[in-house]
Amino acid sequence: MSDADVLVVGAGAGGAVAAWALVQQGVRVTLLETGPRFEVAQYETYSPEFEVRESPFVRFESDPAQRSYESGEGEPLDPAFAELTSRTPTLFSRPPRAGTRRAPFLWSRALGVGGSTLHYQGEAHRFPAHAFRMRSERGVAADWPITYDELAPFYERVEKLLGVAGDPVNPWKPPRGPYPYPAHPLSRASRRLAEGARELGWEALPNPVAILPRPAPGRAPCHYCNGCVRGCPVGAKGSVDVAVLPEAERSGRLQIVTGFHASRLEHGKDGRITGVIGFDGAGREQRRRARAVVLAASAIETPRILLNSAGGAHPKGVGNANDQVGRHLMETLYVLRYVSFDARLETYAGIPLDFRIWNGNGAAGPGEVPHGIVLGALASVFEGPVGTALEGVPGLGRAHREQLARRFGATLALLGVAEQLPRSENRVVLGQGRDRFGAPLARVETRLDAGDLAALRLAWRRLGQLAEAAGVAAETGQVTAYDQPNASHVAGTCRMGDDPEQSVVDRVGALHGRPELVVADASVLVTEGAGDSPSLTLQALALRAAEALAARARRGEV
Amino acid sequence: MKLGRRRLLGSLLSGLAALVSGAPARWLAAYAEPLVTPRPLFSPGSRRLLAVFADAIVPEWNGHPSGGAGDFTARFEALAEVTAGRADNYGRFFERFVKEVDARVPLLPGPPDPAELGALFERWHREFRTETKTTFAAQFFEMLRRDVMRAYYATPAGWRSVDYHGPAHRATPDGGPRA
Repeated sequence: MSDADVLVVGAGAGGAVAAWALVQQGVRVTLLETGPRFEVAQYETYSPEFEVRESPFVRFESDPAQRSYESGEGEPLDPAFAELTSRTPTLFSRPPRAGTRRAPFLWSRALGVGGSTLHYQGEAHRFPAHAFRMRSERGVAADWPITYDELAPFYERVEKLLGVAGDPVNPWKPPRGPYPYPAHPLSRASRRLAEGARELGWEALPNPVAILPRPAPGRAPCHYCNGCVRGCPVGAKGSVDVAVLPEAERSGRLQIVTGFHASRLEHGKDGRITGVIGFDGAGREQRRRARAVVLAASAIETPRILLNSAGGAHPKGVGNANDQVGRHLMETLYVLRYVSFDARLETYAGIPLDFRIWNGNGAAGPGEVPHGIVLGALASVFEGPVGTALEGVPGLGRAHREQLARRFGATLALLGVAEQLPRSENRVVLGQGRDRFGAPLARVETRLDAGDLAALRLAWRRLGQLAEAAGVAAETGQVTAYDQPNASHVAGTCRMGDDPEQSVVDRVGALHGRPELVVADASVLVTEGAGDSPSLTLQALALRAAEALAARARRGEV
Repeated sequence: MKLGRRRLLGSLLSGLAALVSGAPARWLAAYAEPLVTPRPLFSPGSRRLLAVFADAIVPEWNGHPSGGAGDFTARFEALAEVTAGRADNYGRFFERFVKEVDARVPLLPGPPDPAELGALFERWHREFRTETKTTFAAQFFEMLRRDVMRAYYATPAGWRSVDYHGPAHRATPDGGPRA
């Protein structure tokens, strides 16, 4: 029996948009989500303890009962890049000796209806045009099977759906029309940094964000609490549980099922995908069937489900006849340099990532790298007094108190994000461990190569230049992906392409040879977009893929 | 009374022993005051010692009009309850710590001098790293520092101490008044 026309696995950025698009086309959809559904009242932004209470939806996979992946010890660190070593203020004047190996891979994720958009900071980037043609234009990575121009109409529709605010003038991006909402003004700290950027010949441009500057139906405007990562308490942020799913539910064609942990795909003797097998909260096996399935469970969970579905007509896993599922994993290459100004700038208020510097995205010059590099500042890194006391000021006692008085409201983290180029050997495979339902955990195998390290170093140096030009009073620490992987953006593990031997899905996100199975998350990305955030791109791709699926269904092809 | 470093070290170690064993160290008698309602995480002796640490880490705590050491430990325990695994971590670290120091240092009486705690923590850190090849002492005191600061700066008093009025106090992009 069919529960719906289409099953969508994962109610995050891509799954929600795919579900929305399908119901707009008259398709009945069941949306399966592992986590619960939250109400904005659960976001304790106004509590004095907001900094010390754990966010209800964030899972850093520290709980063995919840974890879905394993990772081995990181690779040996290259001492030639020692300046990138992470160091944060501690009790001790001499921090514990730095490790000699990279820390195990850490995936920063959120579970629940909304997925990672629950804790994202609203960045809504269109990738630059060259990001789709990295092989042709930069001689590295691979070209996408589609161009920026093909995706642009879908970008525009998703921007309207989410309510993106931005300034269309950006010389580093293709020309475009106005955003649905005007850009938010820059914070005081960002204006100070923008002055420094100008001295360097760079441009600090308003960051396009899915955060409302004025009211919209059912959503309040941003009140600049700086707390996007804890969940927006007023619905100003375009997380998909707020901005996308309510309208889809009003159609009467969308059913959202929470607490459903998708484990593997059901398929027939002919290889056709017929449904999803998973577990409810009590560990009972559940089967859901439909004419088509959309996988949008993340770039780690989606390949796990495909690989865990091996059997019958898919002996190496669904879509894995050419050993491509899980390959080309791209993590987040980040540099955070903590800085303190000599004046209070209320760094705890405003949009957390309100500007970006894209000057690192031009063609590589002498001594530069082909990777895209984007700079900015993360105002929310310390959040409030607790975060600043712990991570912005070293030591303890009265000396700590005196420094804290000077630095509170005057500290933030300069942020650099470098693009990681896709490599076949960075991948997700099935590990030895098992999850609480008995399924193999994903095993994340990722290493930094010389190019990644060079890109990180360049981002680190440029942030140093920015700090100096902006006249920061002190640098108080840093954390980098050199030794502390912490990936909120993971992508590439079911890459899109025209050649089935080099990719997993086709140009509209359908599995090669299996049009009833679509992937609609960051797995399909071919490159990382020159350091931009991937959510808007994967959502535009999800919209495009869902409409193509609906069209195939109308033609009776699925 | 000015204490020598060895005496100071010994007194703190005896207090740490009390954390695990529950047996009151001699110097704790000097701090005898009415205690707030006991909680399961710490013994009364442990609570007094934690208060001493807290005073060294955030000197304002005991000067807080509504506070004092008892206030701190109660709050500390309350936060431990909302932070998954924190109580287990303390138990584990205290146990390991005391086992190692018991084997190395004779326990001596005497109250600790909070002003010297920072230097003392560093010395412990060095000693443990050098002699036992572990960093658990460093981890323990980092954890203690983190929790004491979390307990204090997540209160209205802690907010006032840095002239902070909450995340949504000024609803404008730059923290200034709304036009």
